[in-house]
Amino acid sequence: MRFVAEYVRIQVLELLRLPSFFLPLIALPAAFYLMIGVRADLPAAQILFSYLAFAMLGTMMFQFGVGIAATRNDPWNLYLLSLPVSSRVRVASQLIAGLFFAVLFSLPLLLIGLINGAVFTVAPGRFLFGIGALIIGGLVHGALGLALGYWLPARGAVPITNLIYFPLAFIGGLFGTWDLGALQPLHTFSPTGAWADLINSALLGESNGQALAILGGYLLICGFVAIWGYRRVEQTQYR
Amino acid sequence: MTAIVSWEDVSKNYPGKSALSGFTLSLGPGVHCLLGSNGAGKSTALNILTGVRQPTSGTATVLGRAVVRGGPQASLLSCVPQAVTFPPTLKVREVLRFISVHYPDPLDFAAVQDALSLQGILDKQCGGLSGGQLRRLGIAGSIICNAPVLIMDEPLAGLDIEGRAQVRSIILEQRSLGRCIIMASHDYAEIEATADTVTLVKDGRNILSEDIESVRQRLGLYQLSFSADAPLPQAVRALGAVEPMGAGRYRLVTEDPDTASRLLLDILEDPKLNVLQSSLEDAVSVILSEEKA
Repeated sequence: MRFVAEYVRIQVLELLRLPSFFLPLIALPAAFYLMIGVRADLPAAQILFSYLAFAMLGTMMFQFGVGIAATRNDPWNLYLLSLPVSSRVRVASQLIAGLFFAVLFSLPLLLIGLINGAVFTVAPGRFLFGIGALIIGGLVHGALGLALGYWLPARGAVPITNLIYFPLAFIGGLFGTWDLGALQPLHTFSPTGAWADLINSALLGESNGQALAILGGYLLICGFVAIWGYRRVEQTQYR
Repeated sequence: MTAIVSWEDVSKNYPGKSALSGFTLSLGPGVHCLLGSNGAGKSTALNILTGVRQPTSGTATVLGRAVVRGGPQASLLSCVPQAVTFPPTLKVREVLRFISVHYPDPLDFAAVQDALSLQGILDKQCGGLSGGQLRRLGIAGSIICNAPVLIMDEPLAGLDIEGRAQVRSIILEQRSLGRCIIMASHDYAEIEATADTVTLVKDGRNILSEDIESVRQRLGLYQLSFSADAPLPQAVRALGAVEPMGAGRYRLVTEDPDTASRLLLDILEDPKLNVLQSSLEDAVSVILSEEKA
């Protein structure tokens, strides 16, 4: 546990001092929420949670996806393999650091939600259900980020992730645009769409088996691809 | 010699290429240098010892414990990798602290910073360090671990004169503590100044492992350099292969420096004769070329 804490500390310090990582992920969701979200003709809590999901999606895609892809060939990572610590520590610390940044990048949105009252438009119990739905979707998209991280080439990681990140956010309705017209079927069966639907149901106090099943399917697929990618890296680059 | 580390019949194959082939070597306390041309297998052998790479067959051990990546034997060794990079936004102090927490009995921070003149850069981010400063940080990271085995892949690359002297002094100090220091290097002058043994690696095999003096003496060669006007007299040319060095200087490698010197002094007027025992580099290049033949 001491090692996990040390690895989390070092990753957090490293990324907090990296404006190219930190600034877009903390500022973009808040800026979009203020410019687009607050004007959307939807319940205030639903909009707030959509943007929280957008912030979390960015963290998962960039910390895990780009972060792992860009550094897995790095000599520092090879050096870490020589240290007396199990690979489980490195993986666990990466996940915890991801969680830390997901919470951190959500804070500006929650602050705006407190100021504009969006937080108070839903009962505390349903708010907690919403948080639960947010975490479930975060796990699925964390697995997606890991899958990208272990398969994307280092050089193409940023543009490819951007190509996936924004369309996924749009299709999922995370900007508060729920009427996608002809793209609506994509919304339902996309990971971000199922996530948004699950959050929406949770805020309304309803269950949503379909969204859960879709997210479960994505978790299995992304988890499998991530583990496959991890083993590929272990067996080729680090073997 | 008590073996601290050993490779036993270690092979490492990549698709279409064998990096190590039945590599066997045991090393005890002292400074040991792995020598060989680029791609000979030196770094692969070291990476297998640190657990970064896994052998295709054979075993590597540290104090009798088989090497497992991240296993308990890893706390018995510390390393300076060939390509040293550190996360650019971390500070030197943070990197050293991070490395040291992995080890049961790390050294005092102050001792390491003094030995490598790190005082001025402790609060600098690694991204702002020069190549030499990065190298010194890598070495500091290995020293602070206070581990019985120290692995250094090209430890002097990129260092200035002061840095080289510091690292040489650190290596010798570690030797005096009874540590096993293993270096891969191409810097023959530094090897001669610090190493106790050399191991020649060629095509992934250990072709010779002896103390430095034995390697040098087993050739028994001397290098004579002298001045002469061209064309060289027939008697001088008859001494063996005489190579021009430029500016009227010539070089002759011989097993019998006394006879050759007498003859040169008799025939040539003021030859400014210089006699040197063959260097480690000469010896290694001869051994490697004999092996090739």
